[in-house]
Amino acid sequence: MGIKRTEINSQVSIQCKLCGAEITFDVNNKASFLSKTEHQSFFGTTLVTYRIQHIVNDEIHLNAILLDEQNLFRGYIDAYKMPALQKEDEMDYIDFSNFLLLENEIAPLPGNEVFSNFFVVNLKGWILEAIKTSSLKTRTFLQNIFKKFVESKKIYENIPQPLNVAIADLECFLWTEGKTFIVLSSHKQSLEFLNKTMNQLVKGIEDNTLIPKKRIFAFLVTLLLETDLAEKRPDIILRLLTDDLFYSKIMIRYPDRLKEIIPKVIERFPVPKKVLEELLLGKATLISMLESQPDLIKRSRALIEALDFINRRKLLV
Amino acid sequence: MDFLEAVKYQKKVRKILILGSGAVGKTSLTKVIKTQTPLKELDEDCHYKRTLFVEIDQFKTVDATGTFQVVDLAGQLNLPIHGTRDTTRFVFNAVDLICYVFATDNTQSLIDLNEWVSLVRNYYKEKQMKEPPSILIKNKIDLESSIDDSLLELLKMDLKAYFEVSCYNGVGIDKLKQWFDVFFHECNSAFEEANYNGHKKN
Repeated sequence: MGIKRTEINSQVSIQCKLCGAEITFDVNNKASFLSKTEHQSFFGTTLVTYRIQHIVNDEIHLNAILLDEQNLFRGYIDAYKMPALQKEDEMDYIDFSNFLLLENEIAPLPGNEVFSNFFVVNLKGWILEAIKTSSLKTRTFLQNIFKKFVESKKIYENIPQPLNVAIADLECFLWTEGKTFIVLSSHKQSLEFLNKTMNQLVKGIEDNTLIPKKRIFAFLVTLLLETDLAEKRPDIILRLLTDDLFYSKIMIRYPDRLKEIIPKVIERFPVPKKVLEELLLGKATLISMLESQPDLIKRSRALIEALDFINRRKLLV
Repeated sequence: MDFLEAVKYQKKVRKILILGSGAVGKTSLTKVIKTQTPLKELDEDCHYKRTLFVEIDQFKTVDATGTFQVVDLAGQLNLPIHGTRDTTRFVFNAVDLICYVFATDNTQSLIDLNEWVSLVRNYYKEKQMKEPPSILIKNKIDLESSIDDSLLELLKMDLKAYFEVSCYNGVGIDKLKQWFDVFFHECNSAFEEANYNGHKKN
């Protein structure tokens, strides 16, 4: 019944029950399907319903299909037609002129040796300018990026992540999730090393687990430039940007025993004694220390692991 | 329970419990078996009439010597009152056969059987009663199928039998009715055998 797998685990192709056309989607890419419902175990097999759509002339064909745990097609739940939305509703055109510039009072960072521009955009109506070349017209630039995005949507079943487009003399990279877009322009030809990190970030913003604040993105830029975490440990980057533990002043439960605790911690994790002491006595947050002492950034991983080590032993208040 | 078994044997009555989602044709199935007339030939219209709580009906075996009492429940488990929660003894006790029904054109009705089967299994397990045998009936085979047959294989393992029928045009109904007759006599034979062995022990 119209089953064809183009790639193990994630790419699934099925036939539209209404018109027979092949529809391909990626179970790992939320943008490629409308919704997903997991059912309880069905006599030993886990079944998931995906709702997918494709446009045929002036109609949207919606199919609700059932996949098993190996992403094999197991049947149609439902299929129906809807009139296609108007072009503007379909997001073929977005007017960025009314979009809110978040934290406009704080100047964006200037371009650096890797990034010339770095924006986060949400189609609900806001833009965050993390890095900006001073002469760039942000909204016009994004308008052009979006035109390319719409064009790409028409030619790709699943838009590549990142989508690499050229605007004027800028090499641009676009990661998307739902209504959220991360737009970078870079002096480099490829930003492959950022892929995992950016995919996590764009999902985090879309899911509201990552707050779009300039301070966070400025810190992110430093992490990307100064460490190899983006390539090797994108999970640590995401934690540094989202975990409350690093943005709060923490306090050791037994300050009088700090002299015994610190040597044991630094024996395992290469972190400066003074930094650890200040952190555990609540004198500064980890993030503020990383911001004020750029040399420490390279030790982010060790600092996180040290704090986790202490926290796991319930030594923090 | 033994007393009930003896009564059922003497009165030549067997109890069938029909379960499945709404609008899969549970009530129609009894009607078509009983009248031996497919829905399209009945004078009534074929529009869906929802079973609100429970319907009790009966039909005879082909040789007319026995009777099947059919307990047909509402297919919507989320109703404020439901036979499986509010009249459990009436619904589940002394059941000889459970018929799980789903519709060819409704994949969700097949998925929902997972819930029905769990509900039945939990009841009998909790009451420490033997779970009756069950059969699976795929109704509305006159309509286009939207189900991958491999899903059925997962269910068939624990079933006594599987049937494909169309209440609308009557396809498969005769075969099902014949099977019910054989099952009726199997139940009686099992009772006689158990009774004979019991007497022998005594």
